[in-house]
Order: sequence, then C-alpha cells, then structure tokens
Amino acid sequence: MQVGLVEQAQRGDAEAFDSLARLVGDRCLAIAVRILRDIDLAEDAVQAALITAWTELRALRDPSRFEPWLHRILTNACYAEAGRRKRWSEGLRILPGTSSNMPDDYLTVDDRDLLERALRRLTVQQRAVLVFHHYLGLSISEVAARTGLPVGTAKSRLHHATRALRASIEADSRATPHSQERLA
Amino acid sequence: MTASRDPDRLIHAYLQEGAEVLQDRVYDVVRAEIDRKRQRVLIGPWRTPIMNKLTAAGLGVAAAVVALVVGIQLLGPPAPGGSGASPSADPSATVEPSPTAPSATPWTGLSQGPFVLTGSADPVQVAVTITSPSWVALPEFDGVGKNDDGLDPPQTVGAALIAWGWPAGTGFYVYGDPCHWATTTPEAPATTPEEIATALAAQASREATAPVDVTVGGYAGKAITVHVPMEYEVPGASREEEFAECDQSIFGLYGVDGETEPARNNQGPGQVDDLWIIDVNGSIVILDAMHGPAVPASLVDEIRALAESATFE
Repeated sequence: MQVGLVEQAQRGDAEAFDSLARLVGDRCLAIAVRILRDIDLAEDAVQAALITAWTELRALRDPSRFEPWLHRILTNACYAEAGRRKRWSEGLRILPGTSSNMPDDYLTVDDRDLLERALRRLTVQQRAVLVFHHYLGLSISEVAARTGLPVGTAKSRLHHATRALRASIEADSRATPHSQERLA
Repeated sequence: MTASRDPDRLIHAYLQEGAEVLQDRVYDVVRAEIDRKRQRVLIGPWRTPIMNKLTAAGLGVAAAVVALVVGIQLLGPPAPGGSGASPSADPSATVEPSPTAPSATPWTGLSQGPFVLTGSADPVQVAVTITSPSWVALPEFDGVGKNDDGLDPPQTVGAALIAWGWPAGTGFYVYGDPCHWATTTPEAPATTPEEIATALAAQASREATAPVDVTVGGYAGKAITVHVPMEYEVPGASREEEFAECDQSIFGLYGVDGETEPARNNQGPGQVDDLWIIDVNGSIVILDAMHGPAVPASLVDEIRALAESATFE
C-alpha cells in the first residue's frame, strides 16, 4: 500500500502524499522527539521533512525505500532545528527513586532523570545514531544510511555516543548519591 | 542507577518509552504547503539496459537494472552570475517543472529554434538551436533537458545540456581523484581549455577520452568525455550513499577560485559527460552534455549536436 501511495505521490498526487504522511507521521515524530528531546522542535522538524519529501519525491529511486529515505531527510531537519533553536530545558526535577534491585530494563524515576540529562549532554548527531540504533533497532549500515554517514563513521559515532552517555550517567550517579533523600 | 545494571539496556529501554502522535495541525500545514509547492523535475532516471537472460548467462554476468535518479544538486552550483539561483550550500536536487496537472493542450516542450541558455548577467551569453520537440528548460542551471519518461509534461529528463560560463581569469582546480578531491586538489589552477582538458584526462578513474581540438561558435577549445565508474552503484541507494566513501559523499570534477567545495559534481555511477571547454575572449565556457549509460544513441547524438550548435555573445 505504501509503495502504491509513493508512486502516486511521485506523479504529483497530493492526496496520496497526504495519506502517506499520515501513515508515517507518528513514527517520524517519535524519532524526532528522541533526537531533539523537545516536542515542539520535533513537530517543526517533521513538518519540514514532510514538505521537503514532497518536493524531492521524484528523486527517490526505489519507492519501497520511502521511509529510510524520509528518515534521512528527517535527520537533516532535526539537525537544522537543533541548530536554529537551541533551547534545551534544564534542571529536571529529581523525584524519589526505588530500589536498585530491579531487572536491567526496569527504569526508575532516577534512571529516567539520569538518562535524560545524559542524553541532553550529547550532540544532536550523537543522539541521532543512538535513536536509530536503539529505538529503531537498525544495523550500523542502516544507521549510516539514515544519517548520511560512512559506515565506519557511524560505527565510531555510536561507540563514542554510548561511551559519553555511560560516562555522563556514572558521573551524575556519583554526584548525587543521596538524591532520593535530598529531593524527595 | 547502580553499576550492577547494564547501562546499554537502560538506554535501550528509555528510548523505547513513550508513544507520540503527530498532531493534525502539522498534517494540515504540510497539506497546505504541498498544495502550493510543485514537485521538481529531475534529470534522470537513468537506467542501464536489462540484459537478456541467456546473454547474461552466456557472459557470466548478472544483469542489473539501475535507476539513477539524478539530483541537480549533484551538478554543483550554477555558474557565477548565471540566470539561475545563486550558488547555495544545498542546491535543490531538481528544478521546477511545468504544472503536473494534465493540461488542456498537449505539452510540446520548447519551441524549435534558438534558445538562450544563460542569463543576461553571465559573462558570456550562450545560445543553442533546438531542432526537435520535447526539450524542457532547466532555467536554474542554464540548461535544457530532454524528456524520456513518457510523461506529459515531463517529470524527469534523461539527458541534459548545461552551460557554465566563467569570468575571464577564473582558475580551475581539476582534482587528481574525483572521489578524494579534498586531498588531491592541485596547487596551481588550470586556466586554459588545454590545461583543463589535460588535467581532466589525467583524473583518476574517469576513463577519459583524449582531448581533441574543437571549434564551437567560431571559438576554439577542447572536447573530452569523462565517465563515473559503475563500481559505485548501489541499486536503490541515494547519490550520497553511493558516493559515501568519497570526500563529503561528493564525486567532484573541478573546483574554482575561492570555493572550498567542487564547483561541478557528478550525479551518479555510469554518468557520461561530454565536455566542450571553449575560450570565448578569455572567458571559459564549459558545455556539459550529460547522460546516463543507457540513453539511446540518437539522443546522445542529438544532445551533442545541440552543444555544437552553440553560439556565444
């Protein structure tokens, strides 16, 4: 269905493109908000990406690759938004935590706070590779394709982003060992 | 968070959290914009021939279909002072087409006869003579293209002729390697047709023809044909993906004075560029007849004839 809509839209059918946008819009927003950490910026990025996709749609060689192609446009739109409006919110409130004897993928409020702070300290380019790898579960080569990077660079960027994220989390953990007691 | 818990799993879990819904107002803005904005015409798609299966088996090669949709951003920025938009960091992949809605009268393309490619602000005015139907103007890039997509009006063109007029005294830095152009930029520029053509002939991986003397519109110069190797081909990939191993994902032809990036790039694997490098009273004019590997010979002949019909003022 999506391929059919892409082909129709490539022939200038705005209605088909509108339907296509509604099929992929939520996922685009999910990606953008994870990269930008800001819902308003993310909406602006998705809007810009969809409009660019419309004007450039005939450059898409393989209609079945519409979403990867769109995600690459979206990534660039995210970079543009991040550069245009640097207004990351700071000072997240630290709420009471829970026991650390949790499964590895169970997130406490403290975990979320630490992770959010750590993510915001990364560059938008680092967040992009993390999001495509961890959120969409893409391979390094697919991450590279969606971020416009050579595979080696994407691999290196993911490595450095993950290392920076870990270091940031560990530093924050050491700096606020009693956060629950202080700010509960 | 304790050291006993795996940070990678937590990162993964955190990024999975939350569902987002794009608001209707965003779709509404997008819809209003796309109703207002036209899609752009492309140069391309270029396709390699589909080989007969028996032939392919006999030759021991796989037949491949290549869809080389060509973005005009890959052409590099327009010539300085040209009639098109000013050079930009991210020139559009395409050019504005005629309206895409079916027209009441059949689309016939440019009128046959003289057609001026360049703008009045260019250092040299370049005109060519259109002798057949279905040519479309590419005004942003001082060129014309030929419809080969069967659509009316065309959404893509399979061959294009672009005129690049450079002010007298412009230095051309023809890269030693078009893929690794950033590190193979010569120290001294080429300034004459002979120097430019000689440098192009020596450019790595081009399979260039030997430069030959030509006279176009009464002015002397050099002609040469250069290629982009098919080895970069990644079916279905974008140009940037195909040239990912190249500096800034660009396959460059040459740079000019004062520019840090190539003034002229290539669009995709298999591209053929027939170049006429003409000295018009000290200004260098480069006529570039570009086409894909499977463009019919008749169209190649036609676009070459179009280039050779050029006159200069």
